[in-house]
Amino acid sequence: MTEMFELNYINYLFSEKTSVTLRQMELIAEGKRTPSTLFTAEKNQLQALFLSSLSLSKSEWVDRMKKLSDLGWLTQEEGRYQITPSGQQSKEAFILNYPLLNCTLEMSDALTRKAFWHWFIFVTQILSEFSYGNKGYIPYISDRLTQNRIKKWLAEQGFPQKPLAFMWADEIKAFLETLPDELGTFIVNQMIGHNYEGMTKRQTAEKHGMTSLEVLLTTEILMDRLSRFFEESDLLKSLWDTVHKSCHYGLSDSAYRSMTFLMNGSSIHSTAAIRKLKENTVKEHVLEAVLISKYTGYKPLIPKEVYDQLRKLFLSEPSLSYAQAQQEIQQLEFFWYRLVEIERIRGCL
Amino acid sequence: MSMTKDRSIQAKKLLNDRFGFNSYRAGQEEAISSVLAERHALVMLPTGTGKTLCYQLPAYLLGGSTVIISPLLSLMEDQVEKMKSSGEKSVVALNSFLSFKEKQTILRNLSAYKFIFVSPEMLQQQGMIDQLKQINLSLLVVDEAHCISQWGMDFRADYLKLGKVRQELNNPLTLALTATAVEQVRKDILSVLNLSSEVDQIIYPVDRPSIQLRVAQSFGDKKDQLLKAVGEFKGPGIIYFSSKKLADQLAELIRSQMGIPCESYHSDLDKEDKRRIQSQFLSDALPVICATSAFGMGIDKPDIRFIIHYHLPGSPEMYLQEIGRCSRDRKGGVALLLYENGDEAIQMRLQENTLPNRDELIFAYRHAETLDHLKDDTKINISRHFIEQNIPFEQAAEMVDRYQTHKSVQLRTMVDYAKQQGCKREVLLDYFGEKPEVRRNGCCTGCIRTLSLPYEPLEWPNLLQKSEDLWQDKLKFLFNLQS
Repeated sequence: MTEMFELNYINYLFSEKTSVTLRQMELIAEGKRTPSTLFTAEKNQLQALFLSSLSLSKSEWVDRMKKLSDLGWLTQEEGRYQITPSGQQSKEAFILNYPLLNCTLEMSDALTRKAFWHWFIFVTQILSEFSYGNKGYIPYISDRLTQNRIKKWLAEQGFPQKPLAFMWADEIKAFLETLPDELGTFIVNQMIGHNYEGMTKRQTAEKHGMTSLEVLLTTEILMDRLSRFFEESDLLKSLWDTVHKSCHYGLSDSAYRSMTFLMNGSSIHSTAAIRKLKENTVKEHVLEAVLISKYTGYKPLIPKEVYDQLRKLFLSEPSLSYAQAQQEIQQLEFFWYRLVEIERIRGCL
Repeated sequence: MSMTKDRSIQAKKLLNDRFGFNSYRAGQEEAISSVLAERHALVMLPTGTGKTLCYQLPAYLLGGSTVIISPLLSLMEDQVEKMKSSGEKSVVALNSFLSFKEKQTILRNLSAYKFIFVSPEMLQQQGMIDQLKQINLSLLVVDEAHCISQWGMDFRADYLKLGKVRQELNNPLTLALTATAVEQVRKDILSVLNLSSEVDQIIYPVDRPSIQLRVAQSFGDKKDQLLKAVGEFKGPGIIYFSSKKLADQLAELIRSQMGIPCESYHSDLDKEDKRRIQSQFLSDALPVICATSAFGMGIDKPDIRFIIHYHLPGSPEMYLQEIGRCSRDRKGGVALLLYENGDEAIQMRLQENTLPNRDELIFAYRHAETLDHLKDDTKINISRHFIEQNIPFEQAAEMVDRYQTHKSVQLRTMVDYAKQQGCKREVLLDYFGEKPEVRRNGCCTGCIRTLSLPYEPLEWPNLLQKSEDLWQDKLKFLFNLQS
């Protein structure tokens, strides 16, 4: 059962637009943040694979892709894997069985979804203990930095402890009521609180007849769904925003720092100088921000005439390569080409 | 070794008010007296007799800060969280889990902390020593001090440098704590820490008479024997394995064949699941754990009734540490070793992977500058230590040989324990130069062939049954909401 779910899940990640090598799959799943990996993820609509709960070694990737090819769900040509009609049918059947997967997961939230789950459990623990007036308990998260951030977040809410606990309980209840009972139980079983230990992933999998991958994916998707429920839940929204900020809105620490300078008006040159980085590294940070956080303020970084020319070229030839573009535009930077190419694949030209 | 009457009264009051005890356990008062009389002390108390109180209590009366050198990061974290949850907020752990920024913030405010836990590795950084020199350091505690000795359980090169660290800190009042140290180890501790004179040695027997010692010979039927034993022992218990895979498999077997809630615990689990398993175990929701040696240090559960070893431990020290986790309430426990001829081979293989052989040592001495680029393992650490200490090659090789021989003696004692006729307790205690003073609970399988349980067995709880409630009810329970 475990392996079949995993194979179905990998197959589900493929769309008609997906044509990738095994190595590319591996890098995307690892959450590698090079612009080329991020671009490959977006171009091949593999955003859900980015920083995935699917944790496979290289040899396991080889094994799974071979099995998918043997099943006739994927086909391989010159090292690139694509979905077959039979694979497409299996994918549709899989989604019918696991309707939760019928959603779009953003790369910008990949880290936040995972971190938020732990903060959510920890806040639940603290507020549960508050509601019983107990201060002597072992915290779910032991790292001091996160503890301090959560302490600060609790203080910022500006409510006394008990009412805050009740508000939190109300918001969780309202969210869980939007889910089938099975999923409500799935979440509550894993919570921790006063005299309430919560289940491990293995216990959750056993209780719900899931595989361990399914437990991880279900948790992530439910956190994503929770993030779309915020109109009715001030505390949950506020916590999500805090976590998202602490996760640098999905960016790496370094890219986040560069983007802070750029968004405050620094040029690429001066940002690189201040941060003692190469200009190319800062450009990679811009691409990371565009690809992960859908940052749109990059246009001033491309000379207007170059942007206009590239736009025209892409409109007339959507599969325009960098080499072709270079023939038309003198001293064309790959950075400019890639930014406009991203506009093209997003249909924003 | 006496404290003033006033101090004694203050200490007694603190014992009651802050720690909630009416009286000391054996050895505690002597240890606390030594510290409060500002005398260095080496304290050896058997496992589960409350060694932490020996420094926590005097720390409040001495003023200033107490630095505790602790060998395991997870143990350190557990200790810090436990102290915090019991109301002591002025406690911090300085270890590699901290980010650079966090570390800097803590170091800037170091004097504000009453209890500072630090790993021996961290103390090798000059910056850390400099900061510690700035504070009012009233007591230096070396926890699990047997690590200091080459003849202890593990070779921790950074522990061997603690004498120098202590010197740099102007030889503060020092308390070395251990549960299992033979005489040679105790001598080493004093020598490495330069405590050879003016030190109080408070040494208590390692024996725990309330634990019944059992050995069962297996003939290819260990799994069946294990299931039978778990079925008989009924009560919170830990089963130790040398292999993560077997721990997983046997936990599954206990769940599926016996219907007993059981989880495996080892380094492959993430932190959150480890925490959940510990909590379930402490709250009796989970009665049995199949674990590697990663589980147990810092677990303070008084009513653990049995400890089973599926594989032969490498040393009597390790065995006593692990079985010492049961029957802390003195109400009886069973330590069962399942032994099959040839089991020692696993430990021999592990030892081979721990110590550098002569060729490896030659390579290390010839290419000392390349060691930093090699994988950070015990062999490299040991070699690096010899080179850094300018120990001549032949002397180092001889030390490794002696260490190897010592390891063999430790393992042979365990094999003797498993195989020899006669009293098992005597075999174990003989290694520590002791003799059993009290025999209770039928003592061991060497003394009495058919033993009865030294405690009242309990019926197993059913964790999964509890989980049948509706999520709405669970949420109400979590937040103390009335229906």
